[in-house]
Amino acid sequence: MIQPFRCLLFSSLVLILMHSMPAQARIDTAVLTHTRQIQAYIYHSADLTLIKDTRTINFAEGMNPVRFSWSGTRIDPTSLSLDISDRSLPLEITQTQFPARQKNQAIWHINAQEPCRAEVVIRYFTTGISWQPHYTAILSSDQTRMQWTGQVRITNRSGMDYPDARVMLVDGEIHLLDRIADLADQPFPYGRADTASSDTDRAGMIARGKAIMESAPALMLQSDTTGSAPKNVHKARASDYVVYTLDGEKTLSDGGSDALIFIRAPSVPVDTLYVSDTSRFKDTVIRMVTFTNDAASGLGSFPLPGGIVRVFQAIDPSGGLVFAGTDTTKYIPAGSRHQLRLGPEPRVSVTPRVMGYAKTLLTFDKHKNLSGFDEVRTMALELANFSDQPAKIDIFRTAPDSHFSISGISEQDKFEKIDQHRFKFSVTVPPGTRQTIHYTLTTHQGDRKWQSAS
Amino acid sequence: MAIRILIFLVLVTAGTVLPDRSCADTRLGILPVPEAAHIRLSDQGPALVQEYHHLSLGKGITQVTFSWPGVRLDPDAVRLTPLEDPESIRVISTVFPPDSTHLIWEVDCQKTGVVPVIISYLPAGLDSLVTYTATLTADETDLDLDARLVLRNFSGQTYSLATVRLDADTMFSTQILDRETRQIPFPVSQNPAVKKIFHWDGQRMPHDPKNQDAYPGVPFGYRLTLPADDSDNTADLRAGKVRIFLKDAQNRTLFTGEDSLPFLAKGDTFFLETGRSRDIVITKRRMNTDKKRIRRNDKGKIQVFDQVVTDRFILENTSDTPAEIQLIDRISGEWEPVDMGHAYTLEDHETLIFDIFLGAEETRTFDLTYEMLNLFADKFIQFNKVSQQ
Repeated sequence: MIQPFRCLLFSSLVLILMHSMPAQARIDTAVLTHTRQIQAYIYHSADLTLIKDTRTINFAEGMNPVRFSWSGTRIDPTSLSLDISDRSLPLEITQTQFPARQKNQAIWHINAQEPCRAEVVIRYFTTGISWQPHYTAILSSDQTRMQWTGQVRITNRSGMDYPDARVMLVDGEIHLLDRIADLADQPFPYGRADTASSDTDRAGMIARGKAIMESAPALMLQSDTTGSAPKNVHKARASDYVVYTLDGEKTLSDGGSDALIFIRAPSVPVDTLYVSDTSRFKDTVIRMVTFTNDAASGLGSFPLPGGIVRVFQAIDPSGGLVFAGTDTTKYIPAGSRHQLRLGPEPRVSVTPRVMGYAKTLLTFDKHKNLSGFDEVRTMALELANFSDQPAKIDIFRTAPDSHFSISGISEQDKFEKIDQHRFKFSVTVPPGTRQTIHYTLTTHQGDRKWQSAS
Repeated sequence: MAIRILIFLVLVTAGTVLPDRSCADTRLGILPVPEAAHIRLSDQGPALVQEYHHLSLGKGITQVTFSWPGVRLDPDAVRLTPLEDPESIRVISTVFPPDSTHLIWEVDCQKTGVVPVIISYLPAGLDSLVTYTATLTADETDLDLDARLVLRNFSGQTYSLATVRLDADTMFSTQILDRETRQIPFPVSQNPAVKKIFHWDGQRMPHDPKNQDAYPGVPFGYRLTLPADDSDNTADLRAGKVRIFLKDAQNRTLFTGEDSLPFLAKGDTFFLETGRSRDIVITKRRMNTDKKRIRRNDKGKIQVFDQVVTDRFILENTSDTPAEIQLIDRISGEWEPVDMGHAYTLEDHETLIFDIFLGAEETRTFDLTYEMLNLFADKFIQFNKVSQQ
C-alpha cells in the first residue's frame, strides 16, 4: 500500500525557519488528517481522474494554514481546490499558496472566526487511472440472436492507492486545453511569469518521454483480479456524458486492474448483413452483424462506450464455439443500429461484369476533332450465396465523378442513390442460390460532360 | 537579490560639480523601508509595482539610488514621484551608471524634511492570471462562476506585504515571496446567462461521420451572455481558463471540460466549448451538381458557366433531450438561393447560419439548392472565390 499523500494541518504554534535555513530546509509541526471518503471519477476520453477526498479538520480561531503535499503521483496543481461542506460554518478560504521552492505542495489559508470542526472536500485531477470497455458477443447457431456481455477493465498506474473509493466511470468527449499530465509535470504550478515558453518546451519534452515510457508494455506490474465478484454498475446521464457508478466501494490499488461486467444481455436480436464496397473492401464481401442498442434488445436505454468486441459463433447446443472475428466499435448511441464488422465471407460473393459496351453520342468541335462521347456499359452484378442461411447483401458502388446516369435497373426497388457519386443495391439472396442485377451505366466523357447540361 | 533604495546626501552648493560616479568611492546612506507596496495588475501588460516611501531629504540636491541586483526590470520605466509639494521637490536628473542594475536620481529639495514619494517600476516575472470554475445546474440552464486570481512572482523580489489591485473594486493584501504562486478568490459581480448550444461548422467537421473510423462528435458548450446593464452591479470578465463542472441529478459534481474565455465585456456573448456529443450526428451530402448557361468562345471552348448544386443535411439526435444546434455552412463566390429547405441568416456573403431545434430522438433532413453564378472555367479562376480586400 502506497500512501504518498499527506494532508497536514499546521498547529497555530508552528515554527517555520525558512528565513534562516537553506532554501529547501524547513522544520514544521503538523497534525495529520485521515481520509473519510474518496470519490474517483475516471474519464475514458482523456488521461484524467477527478478525485474528491473528504476529510474532517479541527480549526482553531484565527488563520489556519492547511498544507497538502504529494509525491510519487501526478496531480495537476491548477485543479486543486478545497471546499468546506457546510457553508454556514465561520470559515473563509482567503487564498491558496504554492510555496516557493517547494514542489508538489499547496497551502490553503483558512480563517476561522471561532474554533470549529469541519468536513472539507479536497478536489484535484490526477493521471494514470483508466478504464477500457470490451465486449464479448456469442452468436446463436442460426445467427439470429447473440449473447452480449460488456466488461470494463479499470487500471491504476497512478502510483497511488485509493482505498475504499466510490468509483464513477465517465464516458464522453471532454474538451481539454492541456494534457493533465503536462500540467502535473510543470516545475511551477501555473508556469513562470517570464519564461512560460521555455517551461512549456521542457514540460513537452518530459511529457513526450513519459508518453514513450507509458506506451511500453507494463502489464507485468499488474495483478489482474478478473475473478473478483462483479459489482453492480448503475448508469446515469449527465449532460452529454454517461456516468457508470460502481456499487459500493472499491479499492483502486496501484499497479492493479479489475474487470467488471457492466452490461449483460442474453438474447439480442441480430441480422447478418454482407457488404460489398470496392472503395472500402476491394473485391471481398465483408460479413457484418447488426443489432439495435435499445431496451427491446435487452441492452437498455443508454449508449454503449466504444471498445473491442470479440465475436464467437455457437456451433452446437453443448456450448461449442468458434471464433468469428473481432471489431472495434465506436460509441453506440441509444436506439441506434450498429454494425459489427467480422471480416471477409468467402461463401458470399459479388462479381460485377460488363456485359455490353458501346460509345455513343460522339461529338466533334468546329475543326472536326473528337471532343466528347458517352460510354454505355450494360452491367451485371452476379451475386452468389453458398451459405446455408439467406444472405442480405448491400452492394455499394462509387462513380469517379458525378457525370453519369443509371437506367434499366432490373430491381428498381432495391436501388438507392446515396449522393452524386454513390449508389447502392440491397438484395437478399436465398441460401445456395445465385442472383443477377442488371443496369445500364452511362458515363459522359470530354465535352459530353458539358453538353448534357447545355 | 532585491530592490533597494539608498539615500545619501551630497554636500553641494549651487555650481558645485558632482563627483565622478565611475570612480571608486565609499558611500554612507540611509536605507528606507517601503511603508506600502501596491501591485497593480493589468489585463495584458506586466504588473506595475508602486512602493510608498518617506525619504529624508536635505536642502539642496540629494542623490537617491535605486538598485535592483538580481531583478529584471525596465530602467526607463522606473519613476520617482513626490506626493507633496511638487514645486519644491523636483527630480532634476536620472543617472544610469554602467553596471545597469541601479540608477541615481538627483532630487532637488528646497528645504530639509521628510518627503512622501512613490517609486514605480515594472519588474519582469511578476504577473497574474485569472482562472474560473463554472458550476452548472443539472438542467444546464444556470451557471455559477467562481473566479480566482493567480499571482505569480518570479521577479527576484519578495513582497512581504503588498496590496494587490486587480481593478478599482477588487484589491486584497497578501505576502508573495520570490518564486511563489498564490491563488486568491475574488467575486464575480453577476453570473452570465447561459444557453447550451451544439455547434457544427462545415469547414471543420467531417461531412460523412458515420463512415469515419473515429467520429469525434459535434462540439457543444454554453453561450455565455453578460448582462448589459449600465449599473456598477456587473463587471467585465477577464480572460482566463474556465473549468466547467456539472451538478448532476444525484447532486454529484462532474467535470465536463474546459475552455479559454477571452475578455468578455458587459453585454457581449461568447461560446464556451466544453465537450463533444456523439449523440448528435450531422451528415452533409452533395446530391446534385448541374451545369447551366454554358458560355463558349468562338473555338467552342467553355469560358463561363453556372452550376446548380443540391446539398442534403441529415441531422440525427439519438439522445433523450432536445438539442439547439447552430449549423454553419459556406457557399463561396457569387451565388443565389434556389430552394433553401431551412431558414438561415447570412453572417457574410458566404457564411450561412442555421439555428435548428432538434427534438429528442428526432431525425431531420433538408436540402439546400443554390445556383453558383458566373464560374470561370479557364482564365481568372481565382475569382470563383471572393478574396478579402
